[in-house]
Formats: sequence, C-alpha cells, structure tokens
Amino acid sequence: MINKLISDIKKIDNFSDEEIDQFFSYLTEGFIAKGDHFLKMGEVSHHVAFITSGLGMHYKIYDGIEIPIDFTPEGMWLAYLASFTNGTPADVAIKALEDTKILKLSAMKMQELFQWQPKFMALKNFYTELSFMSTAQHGADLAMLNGKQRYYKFIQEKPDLLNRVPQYYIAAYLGIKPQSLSRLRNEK
Amino acid sequence: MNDILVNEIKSIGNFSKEDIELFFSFLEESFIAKGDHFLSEGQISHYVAYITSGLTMHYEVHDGVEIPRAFRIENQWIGALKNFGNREPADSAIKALEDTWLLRISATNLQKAFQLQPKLIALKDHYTELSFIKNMQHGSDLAMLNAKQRYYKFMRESPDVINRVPQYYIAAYLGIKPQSLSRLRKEK
Repeated sequence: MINKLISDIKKIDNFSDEEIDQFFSYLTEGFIAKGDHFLKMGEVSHHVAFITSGLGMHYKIYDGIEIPIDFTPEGMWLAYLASFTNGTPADVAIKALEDTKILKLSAMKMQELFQWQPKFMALKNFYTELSFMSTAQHGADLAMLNGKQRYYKFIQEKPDLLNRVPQYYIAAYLGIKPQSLSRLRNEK
Repeated sequence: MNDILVNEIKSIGNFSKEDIELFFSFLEESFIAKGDHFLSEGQISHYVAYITSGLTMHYEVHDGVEIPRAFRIENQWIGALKNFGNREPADSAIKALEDTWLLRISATNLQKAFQLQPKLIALKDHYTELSFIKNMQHGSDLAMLNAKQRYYKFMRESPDVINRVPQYYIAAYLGIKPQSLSRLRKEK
C-alpha cells in the first residue's frame, strides 16, 4: 500500500525523491484494534491517516443505531475533515471494523509540510476530491435509487466490502431494512 | 475584484496582495440566463465558477426526472469536480434557476495559477472540503431522517434557498414525494 501512496504522489506533481522522503518523515505508524475508535463522537480530530491494511467506518448514531456514512479500506485516507480542519468537535465517529494499520499525520505536521512545500496541498486535495465524489454519489443513490438498486450497485462497485462488513451495517448504509437485505441476498 | 471573495480568500490562508491579484487575473465574468446550462450532461467540464449573483442547481437525470444534488447561491462555487479538467464527459449537469452572474476559471488557467503560486491550491482544497462536508451531511440526512425531519432541517439550514427553488425540485432533492411536501408545507 505504501507503493500505491508513492505512485499517487507522483501522479499529482513532479515531486523529487527527497520531497517524498520528507513527506514520509512526517508520518507516524499507528494501530487500531478491531472495534476501537480512530475518532470518537464529540472529540476534536487531530489526525488524518493513510490505511496500510484494515478497514475503517465513519458512522453517526441515530435512535441508538449506528448508521454508517462511509467505509474506508486500505490504500485510502481516514479523516473527518469537518472536525480536523475547523477544530470543532466531531458529530461523526470513526472506528475500525478490522485490525487496522495506519500512517498518521497530525494537523500541526500537515501545516509544517504545507509551509515547507505547498505543492503537497494538491495531494490532500486529490484525496479530499476522491472522498467527496464517493459521498456525493452515495447521496445521489439514496435519493434516486430504490433499495434493490442500491444493493446491486453496492455489490457491483464494492464487492470486496460485501464480505468484510457485517450485514446490518451494509443495510443501514444503504438505508434498507435488514430483513429486506436478507431477502435481496437470497434472491440472488 | 469582488470584495466578498477577496475577504473570503484572506480568511482561508495567508495570501499576499499579489497572490490575490494573480488569482483574480485568471477569473473571467460570465452570465447564464435562467434555464440555461453551465454544464450539460455529456459535455467536458472546463470551468469552475464563483457565483456573484443568482442560483444554480447541480442535478442528475434519473428515469426522466431531474434529481437535484445541490443548490448553490451567490458567494458559493459551482463545478463538477468529478469531470473537471479530465477529458471524461460529465455524468451530471448544472443549470441556472435564476439569471446568474459568475466569475469563472478554466482548468488550464487554474493549473497555471497553481504553478505560479502553489499556495493557491489551498483555495481549491478549502472549497472542495466545504462541498464535501455539505454533501456528506445531505447523504446522512437521506439515510437517517424521515421526510418531515429532512424538510424541517432544510428550512432551517437553507431558508434563503427554499423560496427561490421550485417545489418539485426541493421534493426531489429531499427524496420525498411532491404531495408529501405540499402536506408538510400546510402543516407548518
């Protein structure tokens, strides 16, 4: 996954090997055990993290139920920008659905990095855009498609998640009742 | 230079007068009549734009119905990031719901500006984040809230939009039937 990160960086701009080394020197290794939190509701988020292995889930709690907003697998960045950028308490939590290994970057280090080489802002923007497009699409799907269509789209686009995420989370993410999800799975 | 935009830029980062002038030198004024498109589905998206007056709707067509993804008013940016700057035709469209004045910048010029002053990437990243956060919120509202809650939340958070957008668009945006929306409006 480190190689993917390096190739992402090289795609974005003409960074020298020294600049890339420097970028990695700002990152620190971290581990989140399955079920533990990267960010708790009400906390201020001080880090973003690249997932080298594992799976994270953004969620909100509604009527006592965890409603997933996003799933983030290896090779992607885990962050809650609404809190990280503005320094406000998070109205969303992030937890690991698997043992997860990460490379963390703190808000302070990120500012240092950007001051040293502003071109790295393009890297952050690249990942922010990716997340933006994925959530925009999910919102549009929730507004436009029915339960069955949403489920089939999910299977098609994220087949790897289907076996890694518990059923009730997938149902809640797709806004369908767990019973309906079981029915859809049996239909297949 | 548009004063509101200048002040906003100053609040985003530590930009010199020259940085801001450089950025503005790439902006061009443009006008879209009510009902006309800033971006049509299938077109290549060459521009992003700051609205100085007016209102636009970003939408997708599903089963012949226009489903709004986002409404944007004066002092906000519009653009289809998924397709902006790459050569892929847009899978969504943006049209003006009122006569709309814009300051637009092309993908090519934006890249030029970033090359001349990489610090300006912070602007794009700031606005990407804003849209991302809004979208994520809309997605989780669609998944978690019922129609009535979604309508009341929209009224509270976007009172300036509600009287300027036709009812059927608001209904489609909130994922509720037009009849239900009329009922909710009368209840009030």
